[in-house]
Order: sequence, then C-alpha cells, then structure tokens
Amino acid sequence: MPSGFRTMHLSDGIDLHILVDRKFKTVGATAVVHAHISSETVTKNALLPRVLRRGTERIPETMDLERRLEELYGATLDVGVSKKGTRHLLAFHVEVAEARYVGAGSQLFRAAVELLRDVMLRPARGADGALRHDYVAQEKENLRRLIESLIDDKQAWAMRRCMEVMFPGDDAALFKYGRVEDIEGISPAELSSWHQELFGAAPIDIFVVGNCDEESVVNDVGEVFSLNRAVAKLPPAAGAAGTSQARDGEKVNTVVETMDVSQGHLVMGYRTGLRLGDADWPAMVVTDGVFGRYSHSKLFQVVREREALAYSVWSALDPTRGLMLVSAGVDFGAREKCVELVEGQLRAVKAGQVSAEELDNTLRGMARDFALMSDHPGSLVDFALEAKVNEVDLGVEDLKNAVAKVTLDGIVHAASRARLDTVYFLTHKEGPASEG
Amino acid sequence: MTRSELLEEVVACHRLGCGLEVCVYPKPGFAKKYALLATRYGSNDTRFRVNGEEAMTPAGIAHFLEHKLFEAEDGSIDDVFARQGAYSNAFTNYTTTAYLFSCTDGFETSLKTLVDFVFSPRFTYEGVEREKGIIEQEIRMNQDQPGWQVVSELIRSLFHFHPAREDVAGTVESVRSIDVETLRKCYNTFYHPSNMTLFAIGDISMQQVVDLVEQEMERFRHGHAPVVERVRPDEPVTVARRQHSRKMMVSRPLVCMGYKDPDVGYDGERLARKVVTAEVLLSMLVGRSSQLFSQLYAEGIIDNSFSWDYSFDRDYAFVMFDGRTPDPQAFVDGLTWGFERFRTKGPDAEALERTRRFLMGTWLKEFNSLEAIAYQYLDYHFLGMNLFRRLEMAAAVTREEVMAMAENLLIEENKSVSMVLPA
Repeated sequence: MPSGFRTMHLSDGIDLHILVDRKFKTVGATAVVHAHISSETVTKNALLPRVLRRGTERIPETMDLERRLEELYGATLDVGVSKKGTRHLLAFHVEVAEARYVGAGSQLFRAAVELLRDVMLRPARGADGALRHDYVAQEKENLRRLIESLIDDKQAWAMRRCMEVMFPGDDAALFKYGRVEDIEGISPAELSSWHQELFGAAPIDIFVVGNCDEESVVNDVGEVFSLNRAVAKLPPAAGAAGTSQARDGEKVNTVVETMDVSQGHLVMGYRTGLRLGDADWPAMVVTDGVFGRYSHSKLFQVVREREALAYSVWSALDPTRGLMLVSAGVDFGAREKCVELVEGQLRAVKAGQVSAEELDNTLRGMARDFALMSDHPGSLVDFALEAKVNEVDLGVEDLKNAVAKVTLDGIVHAASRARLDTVYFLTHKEGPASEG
Repeated sequence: MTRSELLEEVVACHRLGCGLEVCVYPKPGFAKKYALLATRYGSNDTRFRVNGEEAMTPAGIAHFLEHKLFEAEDGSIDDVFARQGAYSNAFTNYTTTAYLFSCTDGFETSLKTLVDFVFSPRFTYEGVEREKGIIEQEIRMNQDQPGWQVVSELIRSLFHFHPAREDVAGTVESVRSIDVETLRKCYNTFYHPSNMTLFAIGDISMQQVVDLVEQEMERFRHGHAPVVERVRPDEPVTVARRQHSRKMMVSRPLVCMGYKDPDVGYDGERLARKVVTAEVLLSMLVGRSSQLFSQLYAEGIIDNSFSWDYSFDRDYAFVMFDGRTPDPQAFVDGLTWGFERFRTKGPDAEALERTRRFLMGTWLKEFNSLEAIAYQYLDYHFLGMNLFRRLEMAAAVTREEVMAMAENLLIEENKSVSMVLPA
C-alpha cells in the first residue's frame, strides 16, 4: 500500500505531490488553485473553471478541445470547485492512459499536462482581450441553472441553511457555487481581470497519482508549470468558526423554516473545537464512527431501526471548522423526539456506554475505509488537500494507525467536547389540506 | 487462462466437479476484493422447456427469485455480510441474475456466505406473499419515473413479441400470480451449478478461491444438470409501432428515439466485433466532439442530459438516443437528418482514428475499477466474448464496417420514437 505523496516545491507557491501506483492503468494530474472565500469573489470563483474549460488560446473552440482530448486517447478533463472552511478550491483534473497500454508515444502525459496548463492559464479570449463573451454568457446561464436545481436536494439544502444559521455573516458559510444574485453582474472583463489576479498570486498544488514514472513527472510538470509569480499567503482556513469556542452554557439555537417538501429535514450542528491535526482528532474520528457514521452506529440503530423515527440518519465531521453535523430525514411532527433521541445517544457516548462490539465494528469499518482509499486516487488527493489546507503534515497511514489505537477513554474524552449549537428543521407549510 | 499481454491483465476459469464455473481475476495491490455469483437466468427467460416439458412462467419471476434468495432466516442477507464487514447487493437484468459482495478483510468468510445463501433457498408461502407487496411498490415507483417510462415504451415500440418488452420486475398482475411451486421450478431449472459462474476479483489467488468454493459446494447435493431450452417467439425485423407518447408531470419533454438492429442471431467474436463497431459509429455520430452534437447543443435542442446506448444480446439489439428537449420534433428531425448526412458523406479518416483512440482510452480506464471489470467481464463472458480484446478491436475497426452498420441500422424502417410530454 502506498505510504503517501512525495512533495516537492516547483516554484514560489507551486507544490507538486506525486504518488506512483502501477496498479492503475492511467495517471491523473489534479491542479488545485487556493482562494480565500469571500462574498465578493465566491461566484466568480465558481464561474471561472467552467469558462476556462471551454477553450484555450491554442484551441479556442470547445468542439476542437473535445477532439484534442480524444486524440490524447480519451483523456478526460474535469473542473470543479469545493470548499474547506474559508478555503475555496478550484480544481482542474486531467486523466490519461499510461501510454504503453494504448500503443501511444511516450509524450502522452506531457501533452495532457500542457493542455491542463493551457486551460488554467492561457484561456480563449475574444477580440477585446477578455475571456470569450459567448462562453462567459453560456456558463453564467449553466451556473444559474445549477444553483437553482440544487434546491431539489432538500437534505443538502437544509445542511447549507444550518451552516448559514450557525455562522451568520461569516464567509465560511458561503455556498461553494456562489450566489444567483451575483451572476447577472459579472462581465467578461471583470471575470478576466479576476482570473489574472487570482491565478497570478494563488497557491497551487498539483497532485499526480497513478501509473507513471516519478522522475519524468517531475520533469514534465516542472517544465510545463514553470511560472514566475509572487504568491500571497492566505488566512487560516478554519476562519472565525475555528477560533470561536463552543458556546458553553448558552441556549441551543433552534430555527424552523418551511418549503414544499415531502418529509422533514433535520440538521443538528455541534461544535467540537477539534480539528484535523489536533491530538484528540483520531479519537473524534472514532467517536463519530460509533455515534453516526455507519449503519451499525448508534444513530442508525436507535433512531432508524429501533424507533423507526427517521428514514435516514447519519453524522459527519468538518475537520477544518471543528464541527460535528447530524442529518436526518424525519416525519414533520417528529423533530423534537428526534432531537431528544440524538442527544440521548450522544450522552450515552459521553458516558462511555459503548459496547466492545460497537467499538470493534467501528474500528474495523474505519480500517476498511482507510484501506479502500488506496484504490481511489480522488480520495487520496482529497485527504492530502485536507491536510494541506489545515497546514498539517499528516498522511493517510498516520491517521489510520492513530485511529486503530483509540480506546474507549479517548472516545469519552473527545465526545465531551461536542456541544449542540444549532438545530435546523426544514418542514412543510402547515395549512388546511396541504397534503397531496 | 486468458491473458492480455497488452493490458497486463489475466483471468483464469475453472469448472468444478459439480459443474460450477469459477473465474478468478487477480488484481495485485488493490485493497478491495469483490465476488459475484451469477446465473444465466434473467427476465427474458420466462418460457422454457426443461427435460422436454414446456413451462410458461410469469413476467418478473427471475427478479422475484432474486429478492427471495436474498433473505436470511432472521432478516436480510445484507446484515449477515455487514457483520462480516462486507457490503452486499444483488441484481437482475434481461439475461442474468447475480449476487455479490465486496470487502477488504474476511474475504473467505464472505465468499462462503455468498455460496451458502444462493444454494440454500427457503421459499415459504408467507414469505412469498409478503414479497409481492414489496415488489409491487418497486414497480409502481418505477412507473412514476418519467425517465424510466420513456425507455420502457420505446422497447415496447421496437419489439412485437420479444420478452424484452416486459419490465425486469414484471407487472403488478404478473407478480401477483407467482407462487412457491413456480419459484421452486425456476430455481431448480436455472440455479443448477452448471448454469452458473462465480467471479472473484482482487488481490487473491486462483487456487485459494477454487479450493474454498469446491469445499463449500460439497455441502450441497446437486443432481444431473437439467436439459434446458429457452423458448423465444419469432420476432419480426420490423418495429411494432412507430411512435408512442404519454403525458406526465415533467417540466420539459423527454424523448427516446430508437433503431431496432436487424442484424442479430449470433454471439462470440462476431458479436463482439459488432458491438465495438457500434460504439465507434455512435461515438463518431453523436459523441461530444461530433459536429451533430455541437450543432444541436448550440441550437438548444439537446443539453447535457443527452445520452445514447447500444443494447445487445444474441437474439436482439437496438440503439437508443434520449434526452430532455424543449422541442421533441426538432430533436427527432435533427438527429435523423444528421444520420442521413453521415450515411451519404461518411466519416473522414481523421475522425475514425480519433474515435478509435478515444474508445481505447475510455475502455482502458475501466480496468482501474474492480466493479466495472466484474460487470463487463460477466456480460462478455456469458456471450462468449473476450473483454480483453475490446481495445485491439477498436483499433482495427474499418471505415467499411462502420458505414455498413450505419446503412443497416440507422434507417427509417428500424426507427421508433417514444415521448413523455408535460401534462
């Protein structure tokens, strides 16, 4: 099993991380541009990768760009945005066959990396020098549709609303795809100058995973991405959320909102103050496992199986902001009972009421999850990125080993840090004969 | 033993004394291990002769049998696997029923569980009656899905009599008519080890798996393999109806346009070659890089929901193009016009070479995923096709083959259109 990435500095603000694994038939390169999220830039950040994906200086037409990818033996080029705390991450991913399996020349990876660079840094421009107006207009429309369609996923909507309620006015609560109301006002000229500004100074991480030769990857990526930039340091990703302490003793904030939904969606936000890299983080990971991560966990077994109160119920951690979040789909009238059951199960964990079987099942589940990561380059990249964003030097193996050593005492200790901060409930509009 | 020097992949198949075929595909370095026990029995196999006696069984019975086998004495087989740290599932399609699990540790224990439950059926009157309600819900849920409806109706339009007309789960009425006796008959006919294959993939050894399965199979007494003959109605080459539309609660119309393939009746290498040719043809015609896709996309007639699929078996095949559109007629006319133009002009050499490369790279990527390999391998294996040869075949497809297929497949006589329109 690969032990982790080998990291090297390419130039100011550009790090290359390589993980060679010959079990794969392909090699992937993911370039991640780090931005600090803010209400002024969030929507532009979300829009940029989509516009850049449409064409480059050398290959300005989208159809020709698709053809170029086919020529490169079905290389895939995916772009996207994600968010970790206050860090907005713009990702550009190219995946290409290891040349010998398709009888290609040895320059296949190099050609793919050049295309990746061109997409990021040398975009198609119109006569006015700005990003192509037609691409900007079309992708603005696509982004608008995307944001509007996300309201269909009510559980995710409830989660986002809970974050907004929990961190009012905090940029860390901004949605990764930005705000519909910003879209209209973004002009090609403004987007172009933001592209220059952001890509000219942002830290960039390039992850290469798969069937490749380390030396030639260093060579190829080093040459293709030899940029002369002055890079700015970004504020800590935890943002205000990470620094503020649990609101001990304060009243839990309960917010109920209505929408046209077929079931109630409950989100409970806990502050733990424990983040990736903290000494107690491995114990918090296991606590979450015992509490709500798995189908054998307490939440699923009690709230769903025993009490039949929720259709779905699980917990998850936010390693950047130090949160634990519980999500449940419940009947409209079951909010209070569900909150009480969830709280009761957490009290049980805090009191050390975890059987040997529960702990054993959880540790085995975690060992499995960590092992499976090595089959999925995407999850290895995400883990490394998580560590990078949190400025922690931690490999998958390190955390895996630390988690395997967690004891019941450790769980009790970590669980004691969790304080319920916010209960958010999305329910239907009550009224006469509103059913059907 | 089948090996690909090009891909550096190998799979070995071995038939046990009881008749069960065991195929092992070593994938050194992967953490996941995956096994699938499959029988050559799907929703198309409702009519058959066993030891000379003809049987007509209700639509959906293969799927029903899958549900019943997946039940343990005290709940679901899922829980048994979960306790072992494994994830389990099962599926039924037109030709195959399969039971599977994946894990990282405890592979041997879970492999035994898989073999044990598939070969230990327990059909009770109460259990069968209870299952009818559950499957009825599944059928009704499917019927509410516009995307599912539009495809179902297309298949019913393309075929007059072929059992592919029936949904895999059957109908509410056909499922109600299923009883314990018929389930037993189907089980005894199609779950004889000689009709089945166990496929295992991961960081495992051939000998380890064969020994374990052989030992486990000794617990079961299977008599001689029944002589089974699948009975299929004579299906005309023509389509059953040209057009079908219905209204449902959708915001924009859904269109599914299909062409029934008249060139059927074989398997093996010849079928493999046809399938690869179809993929080359269709990628060139309507792939993301094609003129036709770009044009219809730019005109707003298709969007990112547009997709196409070539379905095939020994005795039937068809291609379908489906997507959401503001203008169903423009969707149908645009594609039809594009196909005509292709038939008269043909592809340029550059497009053919590019498409070959595209498919080679795309299919190569599938060898990164154990699940993708397992599904593809079984599909190919059951039709006497070699999955490893797919990349070489893509590299060898000629312009003449592509044009011949376009001439034969994408013509008006073979075409039918299914639509779901806003109510």
